[in-house]
Amino acid sequence: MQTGPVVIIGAGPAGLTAAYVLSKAGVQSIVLEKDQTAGGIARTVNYKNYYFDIGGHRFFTKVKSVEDIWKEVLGEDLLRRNRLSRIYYNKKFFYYPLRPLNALLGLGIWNSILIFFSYLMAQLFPSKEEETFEQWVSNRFGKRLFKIFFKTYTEKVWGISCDEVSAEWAGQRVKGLSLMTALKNAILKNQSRQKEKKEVIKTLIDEFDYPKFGPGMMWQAMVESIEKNGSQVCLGKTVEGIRWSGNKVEALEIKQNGQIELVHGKDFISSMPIREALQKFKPAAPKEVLDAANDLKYRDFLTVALIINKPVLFPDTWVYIHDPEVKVGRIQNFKNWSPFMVPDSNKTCLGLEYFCFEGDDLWNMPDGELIELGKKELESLGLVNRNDVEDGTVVRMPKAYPIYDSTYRKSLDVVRQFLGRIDNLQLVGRNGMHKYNNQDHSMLTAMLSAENILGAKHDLWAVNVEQEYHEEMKIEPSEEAALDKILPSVFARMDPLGLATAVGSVLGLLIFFTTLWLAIKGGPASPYLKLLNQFFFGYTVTLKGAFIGLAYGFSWGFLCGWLIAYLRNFIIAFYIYRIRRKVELLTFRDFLDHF
Amino acid sequence: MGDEKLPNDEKLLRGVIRLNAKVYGLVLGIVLGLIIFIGTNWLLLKGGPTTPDGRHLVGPHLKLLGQFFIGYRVSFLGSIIGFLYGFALGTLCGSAIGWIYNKIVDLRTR
Repeated sequence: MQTGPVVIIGAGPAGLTAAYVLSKAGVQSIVLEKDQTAGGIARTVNYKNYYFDIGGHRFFTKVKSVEDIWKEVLGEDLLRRNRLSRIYYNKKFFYYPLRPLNALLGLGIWNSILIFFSYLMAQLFPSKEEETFEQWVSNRFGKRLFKIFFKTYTEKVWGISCDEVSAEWAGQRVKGLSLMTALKNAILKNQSRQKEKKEVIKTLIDEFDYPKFGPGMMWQAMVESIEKNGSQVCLGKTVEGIRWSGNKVEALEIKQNGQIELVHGKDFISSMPIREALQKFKPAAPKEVLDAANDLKYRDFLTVALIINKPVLFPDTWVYIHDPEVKVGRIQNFKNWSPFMVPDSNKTCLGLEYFCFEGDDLWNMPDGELIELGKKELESLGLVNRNDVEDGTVVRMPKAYPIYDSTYRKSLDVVRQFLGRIDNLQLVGRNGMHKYNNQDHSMLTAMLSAENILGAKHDLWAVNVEQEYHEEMKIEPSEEAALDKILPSVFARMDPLGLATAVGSVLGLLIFFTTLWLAIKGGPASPYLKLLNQFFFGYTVTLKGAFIGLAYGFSWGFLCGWLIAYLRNFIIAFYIYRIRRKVELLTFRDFLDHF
Repeated sequence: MGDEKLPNDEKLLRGVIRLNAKVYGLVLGIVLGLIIFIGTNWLLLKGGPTTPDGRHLVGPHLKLLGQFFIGYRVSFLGSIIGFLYGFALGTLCGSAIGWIYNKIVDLRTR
């Protein structure tokens, strides 16, 4: 076990979790955070005792070890909250996943009929090409439903037209999921005990835990615990350089009072955006690696927090705004996250979230103008009267989402290949891995990285969709091993030519020997066997007939064998196709939760 | 096939099923044996028409199996003999189908 100092870049959920796990194991670490606050993109901002969360972070996980840490750190201060998050479109609220009656009432009968026919058209005549996000979703849900529920919001989030968003992004979660896992799940789902588990999962989706005063409370408590155990969390320390040599990182350069200071360590964990990390390598990383890193893009984000002089506005914890007329993408109702977030029970605090790029018009807009924009949009949406808005503030969050564009995977592979050669550096978290890790999975990657330092050999990149799916499935390892062995032989293709030849040969020989036997022996059965010539023209119970019967028997047996194998393969392929399609739709169930 | 080291999905998509000739033979043997056993006893229970000379004619066509299965008759003992013959023939045919199929698959995937 290595017990030397570990240097961790970033005091977000991932960086702090790594330090927390290490400190509990008696390993000292130093956490370097460039901001003055811990929490990274999951921090809580305090404005005149109104607390608000940047992006809304549910404490919801199916990973028990992560849940244990949350409970251990906050205990009673972790509240169990009900979740309600709907789509707001055309001044109406819609549940997602869509509920038929709610959608019918909200969209109107005529619109619903058109949606149904559009869905039918998509099923009957899907677009042959599936290169764009638009084609991918339209093929599954129909063009009309795509336009209402996916197009506007996706374009707000990514800032580009859906024609330009690659289908790979939509299919990302599906593509990451193996066919084998889908089949295992389909088989196990039929087991009765799975029903109980599904109910538990459903409860977890409808409810979540949340710290009394927002996620910042969790990170603060973690910082205190880490420091109590002798490790350090240094805020306001920007990493200026990563010194490396051979296959090791040797030290980090940080700026302290205008001077460069070196922080040495045996092991390094980085949760800083992977692009920035590569740019800080000294000596510089190879050109192709740097180019690949520079190709990784991020979407940024700002919150306009408005204090409203109304005790209640709507019951949702957050609302997705699909109306194309407004720029706001999502509205958080912080009082519904936790009543302790708002100091005055007669008031409400809303967080209007705008997706943008660092440096664009929206990002550069003065705070006052952004607050005015927020008021105007709230009024036009019919949610709040602008005169009820008392006060407001703006918080900008750069690099909130790694962008999955058409080139990111290739670029990330190049970067990963290079970083994979550096033995004592591990990447964790969302931006650290340029991966849609939610808070719990970011923490899981950090926990595993800490365990790696303690001697384990986890693959952090394996914490992904597959894992999430496994979490839902809760499959026992013994069952999994058995299914891994059995399924390939159950679902493997049958060779039609092989079965056709085998059945043909056996049937042909059977007729041949039967005929030959009666031809030699004679007896009362001969006239009956001769009746075969009603089907096999030219067949007789003679030596010649035996050969003719052999040929006919082989031909018919061949045909039957081939048909049996073909039909069997067709049924299996259709079953697999259905499972895959179902999984695609299931993984799309929480599509909106991934922003 | 040497695909033990392939990822699971590859195994699933590239794999060609192999038949267990013994199991195939056993299954076909039992099925054929039971068909003859049940068929014979069914005719015995059902009975048959009475000939002008007062004899009961039970299973005149099934009786012809005795041309191939020496010792077989449409009687309870015959049904057991028929089961054994059917089992033997079915096992032979099933195993042959499995064996030939596997040989062809081996040839084609080599």
